[in-house]
Amino acid sequence: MQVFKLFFKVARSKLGIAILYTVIFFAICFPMVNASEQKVNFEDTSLSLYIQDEDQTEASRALVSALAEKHRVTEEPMDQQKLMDAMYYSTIDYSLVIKKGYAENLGSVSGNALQNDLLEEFHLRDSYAASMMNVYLNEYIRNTRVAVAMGDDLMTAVRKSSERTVIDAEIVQDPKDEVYDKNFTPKFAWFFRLLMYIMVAVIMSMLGPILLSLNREDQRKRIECSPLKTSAYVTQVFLGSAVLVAVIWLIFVAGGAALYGGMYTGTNSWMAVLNSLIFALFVTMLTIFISTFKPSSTVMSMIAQALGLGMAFLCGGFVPQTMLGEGVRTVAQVLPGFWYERANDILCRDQMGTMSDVWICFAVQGGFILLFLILTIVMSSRHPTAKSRKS
Amino acid sequence: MFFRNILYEIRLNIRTKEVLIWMVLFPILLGVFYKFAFGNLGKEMKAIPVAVVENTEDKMFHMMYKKVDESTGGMLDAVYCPEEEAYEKLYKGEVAGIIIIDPVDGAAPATSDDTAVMAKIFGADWDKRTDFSDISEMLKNRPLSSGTDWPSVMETMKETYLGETKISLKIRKNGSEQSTLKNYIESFVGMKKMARDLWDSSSEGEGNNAIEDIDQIMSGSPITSVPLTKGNRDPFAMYMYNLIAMVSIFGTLAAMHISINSQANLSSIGMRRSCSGTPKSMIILPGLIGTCITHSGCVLISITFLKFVLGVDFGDKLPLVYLTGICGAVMGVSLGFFVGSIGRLSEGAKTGIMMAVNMSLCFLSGLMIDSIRAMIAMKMPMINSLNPVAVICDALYYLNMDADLSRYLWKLLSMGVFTLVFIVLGILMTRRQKYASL
Repeated sequence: MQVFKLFFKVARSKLGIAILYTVIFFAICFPMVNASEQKVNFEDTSLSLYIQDEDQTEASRALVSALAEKHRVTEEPMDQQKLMDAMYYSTIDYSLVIKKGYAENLGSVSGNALQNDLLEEFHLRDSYAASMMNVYLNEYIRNTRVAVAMGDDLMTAVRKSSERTVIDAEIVQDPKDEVYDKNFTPKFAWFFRLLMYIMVAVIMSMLGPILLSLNREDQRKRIECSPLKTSAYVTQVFLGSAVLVAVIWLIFVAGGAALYGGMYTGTNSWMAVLNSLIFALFVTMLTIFISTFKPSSTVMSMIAQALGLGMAFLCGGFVPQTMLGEGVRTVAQVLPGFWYERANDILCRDQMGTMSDVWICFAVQGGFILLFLILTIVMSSRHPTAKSRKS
Repeated sequence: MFFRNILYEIRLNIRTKEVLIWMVLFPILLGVFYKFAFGNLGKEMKAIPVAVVENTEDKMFHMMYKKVDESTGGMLDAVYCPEEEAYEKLYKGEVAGIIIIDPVDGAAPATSDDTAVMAKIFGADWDKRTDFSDISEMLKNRPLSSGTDWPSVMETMKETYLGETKISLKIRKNGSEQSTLKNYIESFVGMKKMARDLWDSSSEGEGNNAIEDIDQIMSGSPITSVPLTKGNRDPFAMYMYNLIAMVSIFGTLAAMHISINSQANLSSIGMRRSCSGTPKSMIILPGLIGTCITHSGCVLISITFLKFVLGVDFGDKLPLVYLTGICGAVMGVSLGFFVGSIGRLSEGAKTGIMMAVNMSLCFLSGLMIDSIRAMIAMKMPMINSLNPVAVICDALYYLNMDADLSRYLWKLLSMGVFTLVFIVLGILMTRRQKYASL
């Protein structure tokens, strides 16, 4: 087991980078992932509102109170730049100015008064939040005016408008949906989504340099001179790679379990774990394949980053696949990362699909593993070994 | 000799293909990935697909839908279908929710039995009319024949247009689309209630102007929308700022060799240089300047590619975007020089560590997921101020969004301070080193 021991001797020197990546990954995942169960009841979206009340009347305060019942309201004065930043970073979803003369105009229900602006809103870009607020405010003001038109005094009208009819929204599940599992939430699925990039980065930056060291011309020649059989050498390298990747994968899976709050529960969580194992095997195979070209460690590092980031961007490693354009999704199908993320998205119900679709995703990834195994064998049998033997 | 050393350094950098690949090809590749993946992000808000199941007739729903659709520019994309088909669409994820319109408890489904009366007033196509203004006009201009029972007509119209129904919403999961949908329906219901109240109130009086009143109150919006900035508000732009920041900070990889090659315990070139009579300042300073020049060139190429090939909108201050790129590049080089002078690790190990640190700084700045930056800005804003990548991003963001340059200049100053600190620390760690043996 000389080669196997050598493998881990080299691995020890690459431990620092792997630890760094892992620690940073978990530090990032921690605030992002929450393993709470899927909500089975409807939960209305509560927005962050910034309100500037220039009118300061009873009617304007009533509007602020009505909004504060459902949303988070901030009234601390903010300059335009601060407000813009807050809206850009989405810490404020909607900004509203209740204009001077609001109460007076609200009580007027005839002629030109109806055309006067009562409110001013700022939003950076079109969003459901902005649309939702505009609909609510329009309805509030119209209802108040109707009540005034029907003879109510302004404050009675305002009170009536605040009493909005609430419609029940019921969450329904497909009784035939075999994939739905409340234990594997879309929020926790972020862990497995990001895992794709981090596995490529960690496995390639750790395993790659080890294989490059073993494949170094002088090292290789020394091994070839030794009485060690080629098959034993290859077996030990494969075994070393397998053990190393298994340890890396286990660390991530265990870390995931810690974020999950204990042992994974439900079929979908375990399917996601299996998905990550298959992808880890693919990355291992890919790294072994690339190392047969004997690139420098910098090039290997670059390939790791380009592949990791490229696959993550194109295959939905940083955003759910449903957010990607149709064209991107079509192109990305040639990448195994796409199938990894698709399986993950189906399991957390971010994307529709059946368990058979998940198994298809696994099979496609398995196909990629096989492809790179064959390519590695082909490349190894043609590569400088023959040349070095002649020399 | 000083200028000759700068020239040598530039040549050396240009000949290092791997570094050039990192600085030029990698960002270009990443920029293309971005364009493909997030190019359409935030460009337009999609209409919310919804299935509508009408178990009873509700003309007001159609009228309100049309009105809201016009005022919001098509926020809802409704498909009218039977209940079974609607659930199928919901389960397949084709619609965000199902609106079910049922008769109120105990009532029979409404039907258009009043065709004769309505057709007499509004013509044969009366049930196609879903516009308040249209109906109001027709009601005003069409003289009724003598003997028409006006209260009966009004009652028929009320039941036709404002008949009570029960509306419910079915969804598959929580989310902003679903909340918006719920809000729309509550608005429909609220408006219908308002219309009924107004109708009753108007019908009691002598004028039968209910529909006209509804139309008048419903027309126009009491809300004015004011833009906060003239800059590019596209969230996709933030990814591009991050990309430029990443290229700039990759200067660390290009500059690490300066300090490593000047230290005798880290490289053979360092040994030779330590033995030579050339002062360290004549080695390090030209090295820093030469690397800054080549790296700035790489950053400028990346910005030019993003602007003119991928068509990224950097606002109207492009020269300042280039200036920011150069300042970021200089900061990246100085950070690389500083990191290179720490400890006794080999260049390969330091490159690996620096790569991991760089990518983490980029992640925290929002290179991969832009909401990370917002989260940090909200919970720990100090991290954004101390993260060199975030500082470059902030500078580009302020340049694009702000009308004046005050905040941008502060960020530029921060970059200057970072650069100075890194260079001073790097010099302190590389100067006056003595070795017992080499």
